[in-house]
Amino acid sequence: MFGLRKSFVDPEPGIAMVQIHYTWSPRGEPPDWAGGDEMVLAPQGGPLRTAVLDVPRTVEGAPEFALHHFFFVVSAQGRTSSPVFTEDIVAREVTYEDTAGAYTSVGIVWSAVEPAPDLGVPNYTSTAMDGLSFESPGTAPDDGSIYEFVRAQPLPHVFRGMVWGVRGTRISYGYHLISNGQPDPAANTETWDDNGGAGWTLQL
Amino acid sequence: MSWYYPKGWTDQDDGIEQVLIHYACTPPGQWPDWSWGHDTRVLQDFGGFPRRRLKVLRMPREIWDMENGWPTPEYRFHYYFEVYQHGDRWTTDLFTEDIVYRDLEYADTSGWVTNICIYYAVGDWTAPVYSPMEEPRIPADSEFAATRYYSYQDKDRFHHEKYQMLYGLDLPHRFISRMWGPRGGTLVQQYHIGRMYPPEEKSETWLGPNGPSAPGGDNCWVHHL
Repeated sequence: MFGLRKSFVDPEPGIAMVQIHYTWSPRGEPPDWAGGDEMVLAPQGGPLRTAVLDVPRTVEGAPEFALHHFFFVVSAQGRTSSPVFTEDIVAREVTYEDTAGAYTSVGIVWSAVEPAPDLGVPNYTSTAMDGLSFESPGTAPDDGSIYEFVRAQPLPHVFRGMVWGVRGTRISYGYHLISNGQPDPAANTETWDDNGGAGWTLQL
Repeated sequence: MSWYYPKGWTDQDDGIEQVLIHYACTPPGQWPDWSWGHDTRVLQDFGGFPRRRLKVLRMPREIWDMENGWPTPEYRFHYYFEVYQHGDRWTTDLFTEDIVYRDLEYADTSGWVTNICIYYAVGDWTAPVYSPMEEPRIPADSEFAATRYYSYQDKDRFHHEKYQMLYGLDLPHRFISRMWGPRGGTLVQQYHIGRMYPPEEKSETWLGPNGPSAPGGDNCWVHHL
């Protein structure tokens, strides 16, 4: 799963509650609301309300699919439902090239670019290195003895992982750089490279 | 449909870069096989001093018990935190909680209610949950079952038809539904009740022990699980 924030701006005062109903389907297929879910959007101050949806990384094995949602609004004037919005969830590959062979594993911390930084929802992807097949999406690898496997691969070492989001939006990401399993455990390191706080971005 | 469980973390030390929560659910009495697969989420950093982090987890209303071959609405929730600090990584102990449910019944003696939900949350109102309530005499496969309300396009028709179905039932109308949480924890709860038909009588509110109010806040029942 990954976290995806959805926002609603109250069009007028007096709105008591806003729900978001959501579900997903293979691309081109209509939503099945019987399998849908709902969340109450939390006020963020002013007219803004948001909720963080849990969205799968694959639907029926496909990393790209359709996400459907609509808002249900309760106000003093009554109840209204928005139209159903259908968005393409797309996946893109992010790579890290380790020319010196310094790292045994690389993670990607990523989030959709939001209007305010504190609305960002962090997600994590563990990458796979070319030549190796170790990957555990959503988590960093355990301390393990992959050091020798990594060293055996020719340089540069290229690590690849996926990020997800709504087509047309931007993703901000940084790297979790891990060097473990060293002969001298004291030489193990874990650092975070977020491009000096700015992160890197890509367009989906 | 799911329910939502906020899990927080407060930094007790400097130098914490990220905190992840690893979690899995099993049937009662069973333990997770972490190598077989589990969920992991990054906690969102809310800042402050000490720094607070939070992730609202989407939880199932039942899980499949492979040993017995049936779904179980009560289950165990296992989790631990993985903390990245000072360029290193450590994990907390494994915590296990029993997830249990509580059924609620709302008896409408006057026939005023046409739509009703339980509105509840674990602990406080950080992550509220709606649980539509239904009169058990309404067939579960009815087009006008409460769970079908939100995605039903013609709300006026739904309001009219549901009103007529309820009107044909003897009073009191006993609406029931279920809420979930960790054993030993607390739930805060209100009802969201409405009369959506006839149109000139449309009205709705959130209801707590002190009567109608806005959603959330102190006017709520507190359940100890």
